[in-house]
Amino acid sequence: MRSEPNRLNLRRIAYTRPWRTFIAGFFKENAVVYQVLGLCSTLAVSNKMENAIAMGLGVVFVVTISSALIALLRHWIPPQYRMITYMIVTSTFVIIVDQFLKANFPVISAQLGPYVGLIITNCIVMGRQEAFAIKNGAWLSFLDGLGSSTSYLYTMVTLAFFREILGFGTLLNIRVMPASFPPWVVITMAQGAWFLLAVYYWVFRRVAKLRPVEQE
Amino acid sequence: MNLKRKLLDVLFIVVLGTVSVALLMAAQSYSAPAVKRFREMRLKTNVLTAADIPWTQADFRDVFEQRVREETRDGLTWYVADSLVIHEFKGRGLWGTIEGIVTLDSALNHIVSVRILSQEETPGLGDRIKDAEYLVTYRGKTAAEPLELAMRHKAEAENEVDAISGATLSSQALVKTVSEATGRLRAVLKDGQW
Repeated sequence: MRSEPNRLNLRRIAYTRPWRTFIAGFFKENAVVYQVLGLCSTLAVSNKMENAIAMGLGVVFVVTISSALIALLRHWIPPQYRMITYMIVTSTFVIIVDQFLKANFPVISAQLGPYVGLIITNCIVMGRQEAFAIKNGAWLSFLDGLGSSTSYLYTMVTLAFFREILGFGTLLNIRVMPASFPPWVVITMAQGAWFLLAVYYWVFRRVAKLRPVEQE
Repeated sequence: MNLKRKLLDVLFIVVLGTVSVALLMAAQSYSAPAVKRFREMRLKTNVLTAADIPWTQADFRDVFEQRVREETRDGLTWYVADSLVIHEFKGRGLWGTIEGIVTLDSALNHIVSVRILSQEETPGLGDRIKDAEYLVTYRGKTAAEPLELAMRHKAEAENEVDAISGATLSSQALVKTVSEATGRLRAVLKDGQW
């Protein structure tokens, strides 16, 4: 019996190391849900879609590039100065993101305020560098960083989707709720985001349980 | 051997630092013109809003040109629009710089409005100084003497402004900065000659 070649290929990809590295961070070890990292900015700037997308893409850029770079440099990095190296590499890319937003999206940059700069202290960044990039090759580290940071991105966007609709009655600043809809002010504040995040945790863990990824 | 290793380590950090600084300078020079344009837009649109002049994203430069007069004396700059005097201020907040504009009536005796252009106070606490609901409490306060923060009572006197609970230091910083700005303006524009 012949099976479709496409399906066969896809199934094979699912067993390769790069795919498993990516999907572990992306789904099974979702940085926000399972590692419980990066919560501060998740709660603070997931109030609007545009903020969540800008912040999420910023984190994706910083994590993937800095993880790959640390992996490339890993044989030259003096072990006792690891942390300094992480900080220099991370902060350089964070400031580049900050300058890019300031130049091209000044309004979003002002709304994000200090949180772009605080990507430097986002534990997902240093967590992936110390846990993975320092021991693995650049390609795998890039995929690992991509998985972890996109899990942060879609978590932000999912929370922002509900928070913007409920809190502002808009979606990407376009009105979607009738004018008579009373905005839930509490959900736009960081404290209100806790309630939504708890629901998200519950749903995510149920879904993840139903469709588990292969055990390592 | 050990010395050589140490020297290599130092060299690594120096090279990394140099590359990083070079990248940051490139990023800075890339964003500088856009940031300057944005700051100009922010100031002009806020001055127009403070003077209650309608503007749109497309024509605010022309409207500013026609309706607002910019004046400088003794190194101090202020804007005159519809017999209101508007002055830009800048001061130290709790964490970073607070920038904004204060609008005074034509006699320079009372504050008409305060607007914040940028601030870096604690999100959720100190950053409430930028909220319109808080800034409206400055309306009608005196510009003739330094303002004070009303901490344990409701601000009623003309020289008192309410503090924000949980953000005393940020409210204090704003009150001080605004008072200094109005004082400076009155010192240069003695007897309301503008």
